Amino acid sequence: MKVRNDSTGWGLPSIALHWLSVLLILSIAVIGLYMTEMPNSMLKLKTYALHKSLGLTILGLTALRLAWRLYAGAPDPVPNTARWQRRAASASHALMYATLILLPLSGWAYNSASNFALQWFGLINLPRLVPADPVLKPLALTVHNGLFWALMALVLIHASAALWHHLGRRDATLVRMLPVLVHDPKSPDPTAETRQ
Amino acid sequence: MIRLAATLILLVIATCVSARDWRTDPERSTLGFAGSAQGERFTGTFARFEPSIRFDPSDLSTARFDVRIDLASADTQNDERDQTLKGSDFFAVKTHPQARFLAESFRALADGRYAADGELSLRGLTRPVTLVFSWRPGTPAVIEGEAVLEGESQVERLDFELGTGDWADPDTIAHEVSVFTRLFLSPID
Repeated sequence: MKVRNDSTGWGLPSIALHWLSVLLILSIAVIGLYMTEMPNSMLKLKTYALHKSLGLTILGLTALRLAWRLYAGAPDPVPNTARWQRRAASASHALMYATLILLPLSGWAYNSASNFALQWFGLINLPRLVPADPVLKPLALTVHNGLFWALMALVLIHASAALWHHLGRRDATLVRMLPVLVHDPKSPDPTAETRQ
Repeated sequence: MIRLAATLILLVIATCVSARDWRTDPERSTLGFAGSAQGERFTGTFARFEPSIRFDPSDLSTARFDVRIDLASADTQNDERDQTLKGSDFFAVKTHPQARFLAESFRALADGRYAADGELSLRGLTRPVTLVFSWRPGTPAVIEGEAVLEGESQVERLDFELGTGDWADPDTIAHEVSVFTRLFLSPID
């Protein structure tokens, strides 16, 4: 398993960061949708605290992913990918990265405008992004919610495209993002072996 | 010359009158509290409270503080927190709208400040609470009939059953709460 990305595939760090992000995004989404319906209690407070900790983690992880991607590069799209598809893929990837930065920041702004403390897993207290502000508060929440649904739409497009590559076009796009052993870099099209 | 004479007369009157009663300027006076939640200190203030202050530094035996606090006027600059604070798990303003601090036992401290050993009634519970305060009459303050009383006391929130059960977790909401006040007073004659 390689570390750096090359023109044909992803290295282990990129793959690990990708799937860790998937796990965190799904968890925080479920928690975020559930927590607002909770009755006021200590459990609700702690659930919000967990949501905030996960959001900060995603913010840091996304910064790390972008830094790693700048350093280690990204593989080329699989051969015979149409130009509009390359462009659509680039655009949706860029939008997802942007959303993964702005979504936690808007949550942070909402938290600050509401005048709540912000802790990362009870270990570190983070400063206010903006001062307490009753006017900014509902605005930040609207942006946070809007970005969430935008991310969900992008994830849906992203996953659908990956499945279309895998099941429809039967190329290596999806498989080369899967962790260890599934993908043999010597075989540019690993699904070919299972095909009759 | 006339002003100096007036000043002296007022000073004499001020020092002679014992068991002085004071009127609080509600515009400038504050009564608040500071706690800690999720590792961060927060402060709140009471917009409405009625202090009845009788205090003469030269005769502490007659001193008496009786402060009634409208708990629903608590404001920590955070809507969600204020709602929880006034709710049944904390202040329970619906059943106990008022808190009261009553002190009739006063001591002069070595550092020049004073201690009022009183009782705080909150949420139907009465517990001893000591308010340590400084008294600043000052020459202009006396002429203008104004004095400043600045004090602070420490309270354990669980003594008053503020946030019991799951809310008791001290890692999320600290048990220690300090109450602070700054009163601008003018004499009632």
